[in-house]
Amino acid sequence: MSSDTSGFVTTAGLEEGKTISKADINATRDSWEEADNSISEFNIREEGLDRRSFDTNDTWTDVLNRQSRCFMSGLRDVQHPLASQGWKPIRFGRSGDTKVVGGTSEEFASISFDWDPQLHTYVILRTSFWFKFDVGLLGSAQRDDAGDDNNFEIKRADHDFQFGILVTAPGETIGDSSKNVRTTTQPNGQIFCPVQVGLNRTWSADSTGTFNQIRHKFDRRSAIATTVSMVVGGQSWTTNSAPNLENNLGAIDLRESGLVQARLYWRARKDARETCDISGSETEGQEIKAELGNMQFFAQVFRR
Amino acid sequence: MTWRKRQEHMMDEDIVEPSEWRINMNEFGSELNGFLDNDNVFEHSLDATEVKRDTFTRVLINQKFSQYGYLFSHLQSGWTNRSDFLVFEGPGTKWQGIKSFRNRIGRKSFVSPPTSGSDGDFDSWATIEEKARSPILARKSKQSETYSTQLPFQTFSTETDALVIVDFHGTVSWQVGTGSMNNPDDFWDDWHNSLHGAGGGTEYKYTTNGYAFYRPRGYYYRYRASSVLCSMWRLVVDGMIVAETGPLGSEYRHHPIYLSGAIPVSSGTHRVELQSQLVWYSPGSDKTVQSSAGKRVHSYTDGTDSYDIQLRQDCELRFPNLITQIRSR
Repeated sequence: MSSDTSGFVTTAGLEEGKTISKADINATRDSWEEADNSISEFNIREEGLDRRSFDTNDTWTDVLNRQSRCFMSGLRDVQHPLASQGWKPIRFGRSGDTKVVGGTSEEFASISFDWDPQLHTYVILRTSFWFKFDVGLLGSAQRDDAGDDNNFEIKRADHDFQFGILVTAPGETIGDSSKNVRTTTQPNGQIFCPVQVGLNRTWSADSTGTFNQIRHKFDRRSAIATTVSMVVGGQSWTTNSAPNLENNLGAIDLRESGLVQARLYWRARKDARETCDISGSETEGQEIKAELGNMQFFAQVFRR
Repeated sequence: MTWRKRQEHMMDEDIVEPSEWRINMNEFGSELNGFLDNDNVFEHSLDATEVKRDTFTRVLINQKFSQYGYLFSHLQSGWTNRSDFLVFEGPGTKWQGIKSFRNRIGRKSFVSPPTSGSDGDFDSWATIEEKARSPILARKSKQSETYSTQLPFQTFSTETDALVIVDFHGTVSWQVGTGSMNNPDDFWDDWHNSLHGAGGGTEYKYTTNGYAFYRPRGYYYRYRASSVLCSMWRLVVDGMIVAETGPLGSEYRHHPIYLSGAIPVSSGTHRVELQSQLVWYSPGSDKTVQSSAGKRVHSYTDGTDSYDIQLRQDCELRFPNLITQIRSR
């Protein structure tokens, strides 16, 4: 803690048995007058203030408006991006169908908030949503065929997906952002700390291997089904916890003022969307879509 | 006012005695010099800009940990706050983690000479972090001055009692097909065999593909005794567990984890850290044993050759993000 006590007052020259001088009286008066302009936290007793002293609860509570949070109840089927497309925004809602509530879009999990580094200190962005992709619907047969490896390995292996929160710098638009994961080699990437999900080949494409096989070979109906939860944070000043905001990788640099926009993105490892070749299946010939929903995405701001 | 001002009365026509004046002035002065409180401040008169940052909430945002991968070589026992290796994460590792650099590890950094030699010949292992192109930045058994294998953590001090809220997320990636980095010899053999096939005096030492599932031979009901290689994760604040996962199997080669917990702390210095352990979990008996325990060997024949292979897989924690809130007052 610093020791800026310029707001303290002094009483000069008042001692029993000594003569009071003009200089002492003037020094005392000056000290009390100057305190008017330099009262600080050091003049106030620690724990001496309560909520009545503050203008509003905004000082410590989450003060953002409805554009800073969005949600979508329910589930819907979504085409996942092609591998060649890289990172794409996740389209949770659809016009005329289930829509995203709140935020800045009815289609995307997209939020924004005004950032004033003089007023705001920290922000934490959190999201959680459901994701399912039925790998088992791919391939040419419903059940395992130990003598026909190729049918399965090609279509069912390596269906990996990544999810991330893209955050723009204050004042930037999403179109200006670099849609890459922020790493040491891509320090301008605006996607922070992504997560990945994908099945082991044994559970998706390759139960016929010699090693580790499970005796009752499953029917390859395994699906990726998971809740995806992510959290990222940003701040408006340099602290011991984030000492180098010029080159930060996990913390969002919010030292400038402006509108901050954030959106959920995803990308897929497979080059092509796959169709279901299972003969007699209800989905035969159809493209296998991902299921997404039950989404929450919001920003929590701390002023002081 | 916080303190009642002492009653030093001075009446008209009194001769003022200096102590009365001094004591009153000192009382006023001491009030102003650090003991003002809500009785001295108008209601609703302070706004956020007049309050020092971190007064109510401080947030520690993990920054330096997020860019690395933390690799466990599987022979670790018990809960640990250190991985065996700290590895590079970048565009090249985007789908597989450190596995993407397997050839580079095998060829350039890991083994020298590359084709034969006793354990003593693999001294180049000691200089891995000095190789410019090595994806391995540090290892637990030889700490680097620049890098640490310590899992994400925060240390901080609080001047008052506070509530600590911790959020953590990351991706757990089983390094299927990588071989195990427990031992340079074995890693080399597995890497070499994956390119050229086993035989000729070399054989696979570890599973290089598939699911880490073990069922002992000769057991009456083998599935009850079967076990699955799992990872477990927990958040610890000052030694107390605030969030912990169960055993998470390798059915998913990659999967996200999210942990959140809260705990009150008193004033002083505190530490938040992530810990991990790898275990064999038996769904049949609901028991876990350490991943290093036992020798789970799968015997198989390929043509006329027979092989024993250990069921082991390394595990990497990728893109971890640790955020700690400290709520006070």
